[in-house]
Amino acid sequence: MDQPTAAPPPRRLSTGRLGWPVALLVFALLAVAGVIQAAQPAGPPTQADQAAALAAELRCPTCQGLSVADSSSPLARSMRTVITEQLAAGHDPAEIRAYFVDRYGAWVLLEPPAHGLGWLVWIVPLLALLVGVAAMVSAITGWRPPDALRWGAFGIISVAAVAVVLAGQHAGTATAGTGTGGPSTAAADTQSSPAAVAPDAPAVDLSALQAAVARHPADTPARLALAAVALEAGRPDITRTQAAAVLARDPANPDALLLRGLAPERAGDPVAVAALRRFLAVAPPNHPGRPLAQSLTGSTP
Amino acid sequence: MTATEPRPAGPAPERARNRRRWPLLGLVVALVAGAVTVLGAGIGRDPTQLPPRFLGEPAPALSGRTLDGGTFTLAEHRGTVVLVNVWASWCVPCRREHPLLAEVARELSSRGLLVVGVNTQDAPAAAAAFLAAMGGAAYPSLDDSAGRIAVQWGTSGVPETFLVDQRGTVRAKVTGEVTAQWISQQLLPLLGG
Repeated sequence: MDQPTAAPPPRRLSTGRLGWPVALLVFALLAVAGVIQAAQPAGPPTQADQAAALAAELRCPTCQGLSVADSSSPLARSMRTVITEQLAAGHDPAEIRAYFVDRYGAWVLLEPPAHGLGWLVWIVPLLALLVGVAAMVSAITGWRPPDALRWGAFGIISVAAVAVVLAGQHAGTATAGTGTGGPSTAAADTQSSPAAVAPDAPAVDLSALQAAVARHPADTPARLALAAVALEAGRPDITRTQAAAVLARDPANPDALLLRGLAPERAGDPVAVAALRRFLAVAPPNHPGRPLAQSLTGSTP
Repeated sequence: MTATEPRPAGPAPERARNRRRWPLLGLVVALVAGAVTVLGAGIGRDPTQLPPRFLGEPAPALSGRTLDGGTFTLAEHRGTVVLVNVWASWCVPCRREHPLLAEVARELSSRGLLVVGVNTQDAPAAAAAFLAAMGGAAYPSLDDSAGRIAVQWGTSGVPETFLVDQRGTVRAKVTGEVTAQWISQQLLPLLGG
């Protein structure tokens, strides 16, 4: 390219102008290096360290944007258990990572892998940073990069941008593909009612069930559902009320008897013990509450 | 532009500067286009829906103790269509879908369907109370209180339901409540007779 002869001579790079920024940059780099050095753990990592590091690398599938290490959801707890057990069984972190990728896809990794399409995620910000620094230097010092460098950078970034566009379309079609035809239509059908997010404590919709019971006082299944939910939610008082209401209409209802028996007013509540005994007398032999009632009443099958 | 055209003062440096700006402009356009495409692909996605796993692939291993004291091993049921429902007593949608699953288990067992529950991340007493309130267990449920099976099957929450065909291949999966429509569209065609 022809440089215009009439233009004023470009400003020179002077050490006086650059001395301080360079010194600051060097200090900043040293500080960062020091922090990184200090953050390195002393000695080889223990199994607990490895488990914590792996949990921090994995995305919690139930939560939005939390790692398995940070989440207290039941599923994250289970994933931590699996990590600990696999480490104890002698699997190395790469194998455990591969196990989770096999179960959940590469989605489960909080950091995309630095190969294939994931490589773009690493290289594009770096390129953008370089371009930004060049633009800043150019703006401050008036330095103009040679045309060859400029066109080269343009070419590289264009290629990267096209790759990002193609990668985005690939991801788009891959996502869209799951909702069309075949067995996966089910996933689209249920989008309006996503899976329950596992809570920290049993969080159940007591008020909705209470409203349902209030609307239909004769609805025995609704009363039993409310009684069971209340028991899990730590409200045995509601369980007692609802079980009593069902038993008033149907004194031999085994489920109401069991729930009343599981919600004693105090330790050794005679009404609860009597309800469990009566339950064992009237419940069908395959009732799933039998083992529990037997263990609570101390009777043998 | 030809030499005969009249030019404003100082045309050469301006043209050179303009030429220099083309790469910059192209770069900005390319980056914006890239960002728009990536964000456009991501913004329409429901973040609670994971990319489906195991569809058309062999079902993961499933075996263990059941809540009623028995054992269950999925691999022993080749030749049978198996509906695997991952549930917990603390999960409200599980409570809503359970009557349908119980009905399906009762009505379709004669046509070769086996329903099996996976009671995950739950306390056995709470699970028993849940089943008691549902009028008793209509089908067995594996005890997965530690959640190993839930992870092994790549679940992202409860309930999740997998449809495993006679050859042990996962044919469909529902995240969230099972619907009667899903049963008739996905499950019934797999059953003979």
